[in-house]
Amino acid sequence: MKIFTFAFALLLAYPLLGQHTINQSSGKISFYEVNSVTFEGHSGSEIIISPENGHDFKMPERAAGLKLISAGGLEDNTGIGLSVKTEGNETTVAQLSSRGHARYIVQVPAGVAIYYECSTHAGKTVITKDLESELEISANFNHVKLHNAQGPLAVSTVHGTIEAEFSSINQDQSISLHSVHNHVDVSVPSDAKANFRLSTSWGEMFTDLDLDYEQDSALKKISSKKMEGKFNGGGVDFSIKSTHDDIYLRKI
Amino acid sequence: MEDYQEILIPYLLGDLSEKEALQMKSRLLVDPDLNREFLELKEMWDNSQNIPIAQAEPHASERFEQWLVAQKDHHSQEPAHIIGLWKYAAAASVLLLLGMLWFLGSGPQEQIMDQPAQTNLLQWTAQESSTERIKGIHTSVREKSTDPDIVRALIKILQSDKSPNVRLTAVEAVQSMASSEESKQGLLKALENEKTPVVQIAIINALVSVQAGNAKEGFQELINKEEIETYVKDEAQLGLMRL
Repeated sequence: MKIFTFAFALLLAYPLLGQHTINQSSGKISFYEVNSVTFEGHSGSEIIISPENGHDFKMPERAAGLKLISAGGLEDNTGIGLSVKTEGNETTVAQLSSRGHARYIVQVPAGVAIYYECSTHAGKTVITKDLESELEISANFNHVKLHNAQGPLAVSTVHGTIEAEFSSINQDQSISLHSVHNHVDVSVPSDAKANFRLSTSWGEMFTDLDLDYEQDSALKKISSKKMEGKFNGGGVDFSIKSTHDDIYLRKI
Repeated sequence: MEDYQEILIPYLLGDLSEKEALQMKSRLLVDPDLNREFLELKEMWDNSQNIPIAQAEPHASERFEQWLVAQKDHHSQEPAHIIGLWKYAAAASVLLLLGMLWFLGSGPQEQIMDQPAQTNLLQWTAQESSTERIKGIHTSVREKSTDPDIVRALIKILQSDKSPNVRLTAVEAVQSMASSEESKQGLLKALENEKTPVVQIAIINALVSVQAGNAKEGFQELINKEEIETYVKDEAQLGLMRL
């Protein structure tokens, strides 16, 4: 019986062994060159970072007893391949291994703003679920998938797609989604309010929303593929841009 | 003390001598207009004491100072109106004081909305939140889309804001507002110093969009730089062909 209890306790504790917890419920957390991340909103008062099952960070056998370090002098102080530094209510997270395939699940309280920056080819899809925090992404290669998004958001990627499904639209601040070389696909609730600003230089724009735009804007739409339109009487500034590809704006 | 209005602020701040303060106190009892003005000022001051002090971002102060210098330079070129110098200085002090308090404490949005467009943009740029600053750009451009001061302000944002997404929005705003020589030069200057590919590409496309012929040299310099990403160079090459 004791063996069974011990084994059960180990089983329960196992997921906690590979996670890093930060006691922070406000301020900002910034991620630099962390290749693969899923951000999840949660109601707790801590930020919890854990590798996704089956995609966790593994040190090479030959590195047993050694610490992973970076050229910039950072050290893995989490045991999961990340360097985390907190000062006041600002936390900075950096990935040390450039070849790491780990996907990190980051649970974030609503009061913590997120900044994510990734410039290398190793950047994978940034996924968000049920996020209530402000999110800013500046990426070169990452795709971005937003589930049950609300905003505020500022997302830009050079080569990635942006696909965003909104459960509601936060009327504070602003929302901007910008891809240079790939498509931007946005779904919003049919009763959401927004001032949409759509723009593409080389792509096309598709929508099933009844947008209310002024005469001037309608003419511009034909000539320059830029348009501004109010949805349900207007609301927060919501900018969608793809320089070289198409824009899809649909209602749920 | 002939003009009691002029010493309302020193009285409020407790800077008057005991005798002067007594005189002021007596005057307030018999002058309802002055008393009302004093109470309004006092209320404003008391409210400002309750604004929580926010953590300013590392470069916000620098940006705010840049903006103040820009404001000062601009206004010094305008003819001064003939009003009481002390009154003017007092009013300016109050405005500056409120501006600083707002900057430190992130005052309510209603305060921002009541200001002139350029002041709006100045205040918005001191916001810690990137999406708030982006909102500020949209709001200012919507209100004053032909104001050359706003273009100057946007160029400054483009050169100094730490957020790539805010700079990106500034580029789009400049592109949508004007094709003046000043805006073209501002974009070109920003391109020289810009490090983020998505913003570099946006500036290149903006310069092509406003048909800035003098951008060709800048594009060529960009193409010749080793550290520039290939896909940015491709965009510059395409830009050269389109100009």
